[in-house]
Amino acid sequence: MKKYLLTLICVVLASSAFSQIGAKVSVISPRGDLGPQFKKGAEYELYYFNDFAKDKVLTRVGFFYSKLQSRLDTFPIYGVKQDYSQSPDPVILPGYLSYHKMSLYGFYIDIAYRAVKVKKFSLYAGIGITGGYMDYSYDRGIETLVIANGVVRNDEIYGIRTSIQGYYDLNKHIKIGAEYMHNLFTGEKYVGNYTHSLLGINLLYTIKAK
Amino acid sequence: MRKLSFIIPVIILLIAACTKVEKDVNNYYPEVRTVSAEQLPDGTVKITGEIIREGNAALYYVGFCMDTMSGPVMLSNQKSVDTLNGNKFSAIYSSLTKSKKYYFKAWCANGNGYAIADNEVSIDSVTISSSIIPCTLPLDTLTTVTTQSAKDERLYNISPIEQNTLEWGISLYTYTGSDMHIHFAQKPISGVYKTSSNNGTKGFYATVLVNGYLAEPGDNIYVEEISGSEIQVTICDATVYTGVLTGSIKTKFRASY
Repeated sequence: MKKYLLTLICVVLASSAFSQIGAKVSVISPRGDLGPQFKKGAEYELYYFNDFAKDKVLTRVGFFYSKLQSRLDTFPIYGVKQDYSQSPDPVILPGYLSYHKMSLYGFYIDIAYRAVKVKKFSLYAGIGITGGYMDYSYDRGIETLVIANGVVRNDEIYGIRTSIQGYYDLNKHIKIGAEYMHNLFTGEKYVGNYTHSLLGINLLYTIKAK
Repeated sequence: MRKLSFIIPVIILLIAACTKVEKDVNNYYPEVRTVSAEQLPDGTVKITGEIIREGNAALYYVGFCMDTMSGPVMLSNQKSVDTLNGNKFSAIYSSLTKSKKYYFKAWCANGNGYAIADNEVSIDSVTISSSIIPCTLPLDTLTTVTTQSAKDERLYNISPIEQNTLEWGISLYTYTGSDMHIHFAQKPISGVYKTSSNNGTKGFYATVLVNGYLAEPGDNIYVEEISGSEIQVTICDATVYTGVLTGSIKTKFRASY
């Protein structure tokens, strides 16, 4: 999946149409499976963008990076041991889970359609695809069953991103905007399904003024 | 129209994909407290716990842990409970001895994780209440009753409680030639034991042999801990089949380690 995405990005970038750059800083709010475990953090994006059809369509190709902090130093997980030859009752085994590092990075390509334009304000709705990696490390143990400390994982992730983007044209070169985005990821090996929301500020700079 | 056919699915996807995240991460996990420890007349102890919060996922397990030192950990004498009474739950601990103090804590687990109570309860001097013994007998006596006769005998020789491999045995002899041997499957402590026909039965069981005849299973033997090294045994009515007649025995005596 990642190879196809990268190929698509390279083909698109080869087009001379992408002559404009943008940057975004967002607050990322983990949800889904990682919501209980990770705090809000910062996400950074750098992208090329182009708008077609008299600014009605906005396409972006870019790179994202974010780093998350664990919500607890240690999560109280547990295991269950059942041995019917000893007792019909299960034995609950206390355990722990501690994250040391969690970062996400990768590439994306998305397209947004302009829903509203009033003077210098524009509102877009967008959808795209994304792929990259989730790097994390943790300690995990369940009494009498397992101890796994210093585990490092690098999982390939890919998913869909949807967004609502609002922009204001400061001048011929610069647009500034706000964006609400929701990403849905799937990890290839370990992570499973995971979602997060972002609320971010966009700064777009057009190298060739229109 | 084309605009709407693109925008509306995006908005739906944005809204539908939202899941609520708890502001306080502790709300994902349950919370429990230990309510009380109550000594029951038969020498067992009833522990009660209470769920304060179930957390953000279904509650799967509740129970208690126990130790003779303060601050029992979850794997120490753990008991699971499978019934909640409202938000309270209880379990019975047996095989507790008079000479120790016991500490108990409640715990619970939901789909996200587990929690153990901050507080503990304790109990000591665990023993059975004399009020549950349904008969009053003179000390150091053995009475054998059949349909044809009744024989009251005085015990003159009570052996110390001796451990032999996995059993604890007491041998008793009367002045008039009768003998009785009691074998406990565990070290005898306060509690209500049942007569058993099998020496190997674990738990609160004991075999009683009177003049070579085994008492029928299922009758009560009341054991009270008098001190750390002495117990008092009362049998109000244990059925013994002598091979000719069915009779019953009553006895009360004290034995020492």
